[in-house]
Amino acid sequence: MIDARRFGRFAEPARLVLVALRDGPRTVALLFDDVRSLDGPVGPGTLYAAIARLERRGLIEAARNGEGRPGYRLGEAGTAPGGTQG
Amino acid sequence: MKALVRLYPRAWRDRYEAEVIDLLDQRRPSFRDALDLVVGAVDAHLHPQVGSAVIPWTWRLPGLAVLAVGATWIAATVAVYASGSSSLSGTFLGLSLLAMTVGLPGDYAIRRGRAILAVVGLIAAGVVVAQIAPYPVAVVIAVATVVLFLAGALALAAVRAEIGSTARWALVVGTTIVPALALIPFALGLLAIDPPVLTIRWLLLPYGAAWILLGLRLVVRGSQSIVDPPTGVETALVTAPGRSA
Repeated sequence: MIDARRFGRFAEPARLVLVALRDGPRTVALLFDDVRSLDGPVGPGTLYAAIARLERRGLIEAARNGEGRPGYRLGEAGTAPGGTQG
Repeated sequence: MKALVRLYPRAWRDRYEAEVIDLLDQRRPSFRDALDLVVGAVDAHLHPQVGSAVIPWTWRLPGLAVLAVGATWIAATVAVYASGSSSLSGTFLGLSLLAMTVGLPGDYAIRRGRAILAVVGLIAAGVVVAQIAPYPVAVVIAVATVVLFLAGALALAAVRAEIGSTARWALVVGTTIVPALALIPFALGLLAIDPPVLTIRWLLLPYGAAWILLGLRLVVRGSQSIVDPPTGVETALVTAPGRSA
């Protein structure tokens, strides 16, 4: 699902974002923590480079929790078979 | 730390700035995170994911030219420090000043670079005043001739870039004449670098570094170059709905 050529060095962080969202929507802060727990010291710049690429391709989409905090959930393309398989 | 988000393209900020600031509020960022934001900003300029911005490669040319200016200027400065010789370093400085005049297309000068060009002019004027006094009138005439040539070329560049009014592109020419004035005596080796330039050498390295920073900014942002078609290009660079770059 993630084209390594298009995602470049952000392919792995992008894959981990998809993995983190597989269990349900996350606020940005929780997503940040999850990705860091999976891949070490991923910074906010790397996280958002991955998010922008995923969102552009419909793999994730923006969401807000009950408190209005921004977050993300899997998009239609991301929930398709193989969508989080990297 | 939040100020680093301003390094990102406008379209990107329109979409993600609030989220990133919210994240930085919730998770105390480290120095490494700050560096990561800077790298992410460079990526966002080079590989825009938001909006439809596709920057033609020719828009990188002005930035590359300005980068060359800064590198040449620093090389000249190092030559001055290392050898104290005026001839070689004078040529470097001359080439650098020439590149300054041709590296800035008219549209850039008008839209983004007036203050910078004014600083360039002031510094170069100081160099000229320090150097030109003892030399004969013939040199001044030769300089003036070349300046007219350069000014004409710049005026053409300004016209190609469709600078709106005569007064505006006259400003382009005016703000670049002084650097051009400093060019010829150095390039021809007619004027010595020492000692006047050495007395202001503390200005030289930061000056070159400033041009390199300007060049980097131009490279990542892109700027219409004088080889681009003169009309309709910049307005086509839409970076977000309802907003143009």
